[in-house]
Amino acid sequence: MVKGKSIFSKIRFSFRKIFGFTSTTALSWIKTGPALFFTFIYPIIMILLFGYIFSAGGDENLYNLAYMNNDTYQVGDQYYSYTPASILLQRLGYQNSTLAEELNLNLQEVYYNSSQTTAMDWMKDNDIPYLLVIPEGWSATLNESITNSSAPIANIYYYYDPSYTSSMEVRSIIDNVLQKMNIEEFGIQSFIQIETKTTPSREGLNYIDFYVPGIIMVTISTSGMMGLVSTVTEERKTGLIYKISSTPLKKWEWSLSQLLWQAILGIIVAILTVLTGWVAFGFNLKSIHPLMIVALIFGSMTFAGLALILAFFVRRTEAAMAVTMAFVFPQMFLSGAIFPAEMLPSYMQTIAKIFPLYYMGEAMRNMMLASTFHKVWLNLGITIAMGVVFFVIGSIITKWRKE
Amino acid sequence: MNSEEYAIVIENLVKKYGDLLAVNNISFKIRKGEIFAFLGPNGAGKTTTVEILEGIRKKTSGKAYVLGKDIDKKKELDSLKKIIGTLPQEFNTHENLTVKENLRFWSKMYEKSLSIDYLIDLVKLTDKTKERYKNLSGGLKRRLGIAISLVNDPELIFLDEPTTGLDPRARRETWEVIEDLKEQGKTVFLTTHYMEEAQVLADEVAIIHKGEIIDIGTPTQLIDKYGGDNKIIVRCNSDEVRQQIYSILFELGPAENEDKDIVVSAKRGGLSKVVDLLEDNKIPYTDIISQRPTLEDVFLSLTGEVLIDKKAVKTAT
Repeated sequence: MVKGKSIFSKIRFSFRKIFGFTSTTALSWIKTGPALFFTFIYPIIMILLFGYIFSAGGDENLYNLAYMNNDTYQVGDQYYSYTPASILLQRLGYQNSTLAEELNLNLQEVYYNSSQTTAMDWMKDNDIPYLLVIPEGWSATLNESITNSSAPIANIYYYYDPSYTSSMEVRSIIDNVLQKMNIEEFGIQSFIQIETKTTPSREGLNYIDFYVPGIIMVTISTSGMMGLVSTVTEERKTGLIYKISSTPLKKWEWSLSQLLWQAILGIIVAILTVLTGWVAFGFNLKSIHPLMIVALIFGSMTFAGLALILAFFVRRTEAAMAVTMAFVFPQMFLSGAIFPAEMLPSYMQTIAKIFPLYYMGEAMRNMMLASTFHKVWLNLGITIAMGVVFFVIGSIITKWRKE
Repeated sequence: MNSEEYAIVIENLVKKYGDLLAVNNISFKIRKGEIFAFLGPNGAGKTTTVEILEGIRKKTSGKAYVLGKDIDKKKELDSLKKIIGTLPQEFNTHENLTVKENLRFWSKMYEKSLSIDYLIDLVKLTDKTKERYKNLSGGLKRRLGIAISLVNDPELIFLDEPTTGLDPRARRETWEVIEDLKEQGKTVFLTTHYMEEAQVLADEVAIIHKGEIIDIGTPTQLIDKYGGDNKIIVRCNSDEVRQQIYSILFELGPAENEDKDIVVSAKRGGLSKVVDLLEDNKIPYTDIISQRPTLEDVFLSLTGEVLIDKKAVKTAT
């Protein structure tokens, strides 16, 4: 009975210390103007800047555009090989690498059996981000619509996975090619039109809905790691950490306080980013899933752990910050959080998967869509496992006593 | 070990940094309720010893008991941290927080804590409660540091070089606070390289040099034992007179011609002899002073080295 009471009072005292430490860290942070300003302003700048870039589009990498040409052109018994479909493909860079590079496209012919599977399922199974389908009899329909104004418009179909933030840019490229072809070949703009299709559950979502989670995770990783690394190395330099260690506060309580503060910051950053995305770019608030809080907490845990590990190996603040930057920046650009990972060469895409940010961003994005939700558990599981492992290692190896 | 009588008991404590022996097999005991000064130059091993006793630095070998707790045992060390207070040599706290906010933070680290207003009064920071730590002067920072070391109403307080770098006024104000602690019955473990500080504050002094304790005793005991005879200093205005004084006083023992002073070592009561000699010979001296030896002389006698450079001594006094 006495022992039970003692354990209860120990737990209560631990909570008191942890919350006391966290609240003081928060107060100190609030009173530090630059930290407050940059932590709040950073995600807003990021979302505005990259939101604009994405809406403006454009970079030098090639997008792998899969296409399936089902069209044949037959007059009587005669098949024609030079068809409007082949003209369209040539205009998209088929067998013309100079043009393909100008358009940022790399055409890849694919085939799936439409009687056995749908385009969307086939794309999902084969990790195809965008697919252009020229339907059977398209050239004939086009011919008819040229001669008969009441005939239906000749459509081609563009299927895309909106979780790839580049999908709208590819659509825009195809659109431009089609418009040019309409005018140059037929002198009229609207003979050929593109019809876009996504899986039903993805309707209404656009690139910003997938970009917001990336920015949240990038901010958590950047401000979390840099903030904690500089705190630990500075407190070691000034001796504050050793003064703290001479109090009853235990090392695990100190680590947990740091994590708690990082998680709180992560949640504030997430709210700010979501609100900015909503106000400036119409981010779909319905895509927010409760499980995102788990990704945020374990994401914060991962970067807090990594920060403690880095601070253990690199003692001086300046050097520690340089090493942190060397980790944070490649991760930011390679993990698919800001630029679509599929834009990268295949070996770089493999490298992207070594960064924790990749799995966190993927987990967050998977949660936003019913159609990709089945992928959540793997990415979230990896995120949770990384969070626990890195945080435990970081907490254990942190020097709490002088050698 | 009598934990009732002693606050600290150290037995054969050793700390090595690679090949460097920072603390070399030291042993001593500190009685409860006294101010114990660890006196030695920079690099003597004072801070290393204190940090070992506070539980923030690992020792190489030996035993140490603080308030009856064996610092090797984690549980005992954990319970020790609740009843000691520490002021590190390089004291720092949250620089953007005010005096009051900082005290509130540190008090949350302990189960029981003293009233923050009481602590502020104790270290005379009443008019600085809303001042941020970074805006305080060096002396006020140290006083806040002392207040922080007292938040848990500790039985034993480690003050590591509490007045280093402070101006004379701030130093004396800090001394007053330390004297108040003694009046409250606290045990104070003070490290310093200012002999005057040790002489003014300490009940007992341990002289440490190159990691070894040379001797321990009250300041009076140490001075009597190692300080040598009183010094008689005679001052005059001209070199000619100085030479005359030098020749006359040589009869009393070895005399030193230091700058404008003639210094002669004499046993107590030697002052009248010196005065008689100078009067008999009608020597026109300007001043004559009898000076008791200090801990500085003790240190010089024990180690053959001066404890502190003259510039620092001037600042201290």
